[in-house]
Amino acid sequence: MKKQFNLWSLLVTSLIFTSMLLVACDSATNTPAATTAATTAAASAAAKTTAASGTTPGTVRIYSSLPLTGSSRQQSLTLVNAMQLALDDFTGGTKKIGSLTVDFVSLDDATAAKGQWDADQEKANANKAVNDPQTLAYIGTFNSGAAKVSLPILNQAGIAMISPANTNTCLTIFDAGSGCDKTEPDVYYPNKVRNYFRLAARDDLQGQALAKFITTLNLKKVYVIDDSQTYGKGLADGFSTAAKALGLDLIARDSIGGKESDYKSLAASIKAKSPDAIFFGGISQQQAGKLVADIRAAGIKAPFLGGEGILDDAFIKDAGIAGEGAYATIAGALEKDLGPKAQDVLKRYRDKYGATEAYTIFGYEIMSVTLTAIKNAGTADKAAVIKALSNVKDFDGVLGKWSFDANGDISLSTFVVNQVKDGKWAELVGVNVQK
Amino acid sequence: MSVNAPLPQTSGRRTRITRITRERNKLIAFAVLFVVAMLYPLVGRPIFALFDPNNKTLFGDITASLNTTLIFTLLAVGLNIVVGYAGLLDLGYAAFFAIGGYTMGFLTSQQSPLYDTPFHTNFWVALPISFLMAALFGVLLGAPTLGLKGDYLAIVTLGFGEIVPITFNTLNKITKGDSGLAGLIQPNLFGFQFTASTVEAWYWLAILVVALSIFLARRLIDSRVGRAWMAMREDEIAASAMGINLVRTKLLAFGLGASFAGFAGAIAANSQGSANPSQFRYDVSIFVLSMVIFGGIGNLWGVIAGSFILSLTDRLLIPFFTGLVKNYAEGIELTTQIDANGVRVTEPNIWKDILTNVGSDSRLFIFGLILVTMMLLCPEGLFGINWKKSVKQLLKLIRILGELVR
Repeated sequence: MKKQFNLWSLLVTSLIFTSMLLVACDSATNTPAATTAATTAAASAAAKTTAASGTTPGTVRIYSSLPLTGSSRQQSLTLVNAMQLALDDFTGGTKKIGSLTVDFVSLDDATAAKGQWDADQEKANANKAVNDPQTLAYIGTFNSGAAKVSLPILNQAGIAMISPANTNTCLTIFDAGSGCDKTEPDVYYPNKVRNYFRLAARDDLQGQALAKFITTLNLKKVYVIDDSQTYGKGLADGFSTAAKALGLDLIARDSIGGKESDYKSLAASIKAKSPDAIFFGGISQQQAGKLVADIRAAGIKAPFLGGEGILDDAFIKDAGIAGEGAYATIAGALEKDLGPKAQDVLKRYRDKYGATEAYTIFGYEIMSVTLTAIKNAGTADKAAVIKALSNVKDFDGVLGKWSFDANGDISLSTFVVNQVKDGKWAELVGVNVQK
Repeated sequence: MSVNAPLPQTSGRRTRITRITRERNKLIAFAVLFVVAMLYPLVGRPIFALFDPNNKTLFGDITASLNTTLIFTLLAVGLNIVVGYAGLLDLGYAAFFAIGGYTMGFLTSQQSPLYDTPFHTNFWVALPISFLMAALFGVLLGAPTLGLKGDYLAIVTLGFGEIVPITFNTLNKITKGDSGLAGLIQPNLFGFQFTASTVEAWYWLAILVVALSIFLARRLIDSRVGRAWMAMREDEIAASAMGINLVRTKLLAFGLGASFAGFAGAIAANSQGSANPSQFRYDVSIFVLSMVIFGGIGNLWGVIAGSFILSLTDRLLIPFFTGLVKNYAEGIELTTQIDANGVRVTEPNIWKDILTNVGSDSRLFIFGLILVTMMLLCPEGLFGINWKKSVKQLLKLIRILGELVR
């Protein structure tokens, strides 16, 4: 009898397989390939997507690759929603630019097994864009580490890559102060032609902004902590370099692993050094909230500062009352200084999708600039789109007037300092830095 | 001689013949499977192109998922040696995956400290070195655990699984920390240059390595070492009394198990062009262990099927399903009316909300649900399913759920 059961399970396994191969059309949400599925749901869905994307040769595709599963889901979702809004606005809902029909496909570079971005999935997403002859642009990634995987792949294929959130300095320039390797950034551009653009300000600039802000508070001795990840370390390095130049006194540098059960011993060593300010380079998911709670529990009153990595609700939730008064910077302008265009976008976003986030406006802007570049290029030619993107000058968008420089970085160098007040992040003041 | 004559008299010779035939049939089946797997890219591309006339990415997507799956298969087959054959519960298997990946990184990356030294080499040389390094570390990390059994061994290996990626993360100067070693020089075979985009080339390489590992694992089960492992798994004291050297046997299990992971790590790192610590985290250990348990501990083909099903479910099936639901939800039209004051009122549609959420938020949930249900229905793994019992279990589960709802 046992053997028969084995036969059965073999049969079931092969059945699952066949069905997988049959239905496994796509990891993306809307592609015309859904027509292979036999269910009525699939048929109607396919009918819809075919109508949306069209089969005409004039279809061009924009992929986005963001971690839609796991800890960075909220930020990724607001980016995707804002991109969708921008696409509808730009084309008046027709999804047409001239004779080209734009098809926007949102990919997930995280996996359920991992709960965060996955190098292999990011590679697969980049390859999907490479294999698709209609790809014109690839919007992503969220994490700088993921960009280091997909950028070389897209570079070899000559596809434009535009990131809303990568801040790692070494992706676009060599800066010894940020700890770049001597092969960076050239190692990411095997084709030697730059195809990478980003809206997020580099870590070294953000570090400058934070250092400048600390001097305006008349603080002198700074204790620097990082979260031992690419972003956190890059930011802490950038900050240290800028702080030294501004004459701040860096009394110590420590790293946390983001998994410790508490930070009491670190808090004790901070207390022994009695700093005027504590700088944290890192993200909330690496226990920034717990860190600040333990620091406050040790009776340290020095202000706590960080980058946009702690500018989210997770930080406030983890830190509790200890989070009050913490500072975080983000690239951009104060919301009250934003033009009527941005105000209108934010209002319509709230009506349609609910609360906005720090990244909402970046999502809108990145799609607008990509579509503008496609429009300016006028053809479905990858190289022309890259050229059009590098020619973006004085783009009048929701972030203000800005350009891409020769390295693909955004020309804006204004930052907004936010502070936790009554359990909410509130904008405090703008900071300008020299590029 | 009557038809009803008892069989045993003749069975001595007959079973031997059937056994030989069965072995031969298995070998043929394996060879056929191998050839089919090797031919897949040639046949697959034109076939998938038929289903996907617009944006010809279907073949690339599936092959990319298969490549990842094959890496996991390699890991599962290796872990099956340690957990399944030798009975040593290893929760830190990703450590050897990491060691394989970083060995490849150090030997081939342009950012490696070894670059511009004679130790910097190409993929084909680095591959066996990664294999050997992982085996070496398997033995080194196995040595301190020799006296441990069961849960205690699990805790120590769990520790190793955490230590290794964190060490690679912290050794900034050499490993570039969290951002990892980028710019791995990819292999060149008789003038054909592998890149991260040449999915078929990686597929063939992975299939070859996987076939080799299956062959090795098959041979190992039937070898002296394999039998020693199984004896040790069942009863260490008895095995020792029969003259099995426990130290040697255990270390061999750790070393050989780890070497498979070394292969997997090396190929995974080089095909991505980077080695960074987040690829080798603790959850890889658990994911691979789930594949082994899912397929049936110690059952080679079950483990292989387990790795295929879990990995493809995560990468292809669930995203496809949620995508379908999401599309369907988007297609639901909302009814809008103009009320007495001339204001447009959109009626809330709860189904649209629920389906939109299922379509975009439920990936982790579905994956967890599949694992839990499968383990409830067939605790002995895929190939040990007792269908009657499973159906009973399922009915019981439904009844409990029904009562909960009520």
